[in-house]
Amino acid sequence: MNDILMDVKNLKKYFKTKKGPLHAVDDISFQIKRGETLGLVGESGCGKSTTGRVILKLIEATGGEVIFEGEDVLKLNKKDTRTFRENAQFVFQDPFASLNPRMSISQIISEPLIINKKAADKDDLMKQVRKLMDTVGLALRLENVYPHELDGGRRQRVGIARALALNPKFIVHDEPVSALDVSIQAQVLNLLGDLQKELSLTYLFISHDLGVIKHVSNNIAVMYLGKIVEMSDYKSMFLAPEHPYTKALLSAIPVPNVDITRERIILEGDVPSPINPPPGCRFYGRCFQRKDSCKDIDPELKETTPGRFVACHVVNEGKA
Amino acid sequence: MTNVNPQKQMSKEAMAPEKFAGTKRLDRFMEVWRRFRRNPLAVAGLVMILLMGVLAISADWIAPGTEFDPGYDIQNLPARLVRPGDTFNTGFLDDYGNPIYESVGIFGTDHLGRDMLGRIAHGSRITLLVAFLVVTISMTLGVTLGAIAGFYGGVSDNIIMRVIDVILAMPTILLAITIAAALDPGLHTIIIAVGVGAIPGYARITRAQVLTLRDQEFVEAARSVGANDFRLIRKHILPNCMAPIIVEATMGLAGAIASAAALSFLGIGLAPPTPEWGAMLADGRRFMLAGEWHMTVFPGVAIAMIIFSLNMMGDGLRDAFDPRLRSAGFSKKRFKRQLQAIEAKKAGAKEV
Repeated sequence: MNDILMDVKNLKKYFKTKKGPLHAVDDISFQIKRGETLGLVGESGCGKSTTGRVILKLIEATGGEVIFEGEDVLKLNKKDTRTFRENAQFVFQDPFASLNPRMSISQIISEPLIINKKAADKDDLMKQVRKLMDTVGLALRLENVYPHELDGGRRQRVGIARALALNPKFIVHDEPVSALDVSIQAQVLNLLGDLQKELSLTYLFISHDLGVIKHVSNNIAVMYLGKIVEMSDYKSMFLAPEHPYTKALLSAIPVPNVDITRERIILEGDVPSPINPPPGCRFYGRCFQRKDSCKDIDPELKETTPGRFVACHVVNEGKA
Repeated sequence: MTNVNPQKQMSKEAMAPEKFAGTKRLDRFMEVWRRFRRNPLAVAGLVMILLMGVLAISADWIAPGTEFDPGYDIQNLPARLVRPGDTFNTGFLDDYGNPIYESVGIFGTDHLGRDMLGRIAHGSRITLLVAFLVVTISMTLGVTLGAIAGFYGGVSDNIIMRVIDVILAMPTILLAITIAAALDPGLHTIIIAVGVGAIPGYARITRAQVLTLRDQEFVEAARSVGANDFRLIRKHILPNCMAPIIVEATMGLAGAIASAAALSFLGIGLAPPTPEWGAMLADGRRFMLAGEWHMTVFPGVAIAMIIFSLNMMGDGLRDAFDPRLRSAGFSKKRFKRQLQAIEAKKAGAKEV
């Protein structure tokens, strides 16, 4: 079960703005193995959510390929897109905005089944809906309840049930727990983990929360301003970050021990505008290890050690 | 999810779901009704409209028709222009040779001796029919156009909204007169003439609502499970923008009644024997200066009352749907405060 389910190559998404193209996702590539979770982490506005939406065709890509089970989904026609969407689903960040306030829970969960004609009749439909509710741990008495009557955790479970309804192989989680209380975050994360094991799902897990990412991911990709700057398995990422941005990011995790003081790397300056970004390394202006060559040449994502990719001149030269 | 994890037993609740079937489906409606009920003016409006409906239903009982004439056109020529409470000379003599006087209906009679109450009762049918048909048709068209314009944007938005702007640029009544003049007179003409002028309101409201709703996450979520545009609009967008449209429709009923009455008053609405309230008003106008006040007052009051009640109800509905947009209404306390402020200003002005 170690083959690659999702292979993203040179994916680009530029938004048109009045000032010029906004490079939301700028030439990123990654692979996700079947049954594994890739955690996509980065600060606000770095293109994480856009990446998730583009690979599920919720927004049109500007360029690149998204190969899902051997097929480039960006080139699919309308009918095949539908089939693809049965296999790849999305769980949204905000459980308050992602559920239609005028539909009851059972209506929301049954919608994918109705649209894709997965139920033989009404009884079958309700049976499937109840099973889904049971799978995600929603009490069945809630089936005729409306979203505004539920708390955030239950709403997110509804969103997960909706995503599971079509029996997908791949789910993009766009910050599924960032809108929830910490205690409920843990419940939902455990649910996601259980579901992954039971249903052998593959996840792309988008979050800005390093703790959450560490908990759920097999591999982690760190994004900065539309680019992946470092990608490796979760252990080596947290033990020995190589890219200066990752180092700074990880140094910001609080340690629950008053006796330990960690050296905190504080970055200076702001994230540059993604509209017409300058040539060279995107991180140049804030980097504490920068060299002159970083200013003009954009570093490529290179494999430094097997399974570990870093996009940094300093790191790559040091290794070479 | 049917082939997943067969070993895992479904929980007890899953085994007996009937017990847990919710009853909260009507909650939203009840919430609106609860807030609506607290507004006495709105409730009064609703009651008035219901009474008007009762009047329309019982028109045939109030003024039954005969074999030859419908109930609203039974002419009793000796009883022409009898004011309410007056009697008229039937032209017959009793056994003692005295003329026989008879009383008429409580609203009097018109210039052809027809009972005003019966005509107003029958007229309420036409009024309500016109109002509901106009609103139904213009709402359907307006909401559809507005939804298309808002959802697709771009070229279709531009084309639809420019056409709407053209309609808006013309005064409503002038537009209605033009359309009515171009078509054969009749009920359908009035409905079309008044309806066209009402389309822009619905289209604009719907478009504005759709614009805010189409980028909501739940719409994107529905799209991600494969919903097509039609389903997105019908199931996810329109149900969420109904509140302002319902309010507009309630107000639109009042506007349609006023416009239809105006057209009939000008003589381009329904043909004469029809007891349209506006036409009755036009009939009565000729006799007003001769002191026959009842021919104008009763239809006029009927029109005013139904429009007033519909507007009251519309206001109440808007407040009930959206408590945040609550209009202030009349409050004695605030009135007093404002009076005091004005007086204080006056006093201040004198001192200077």
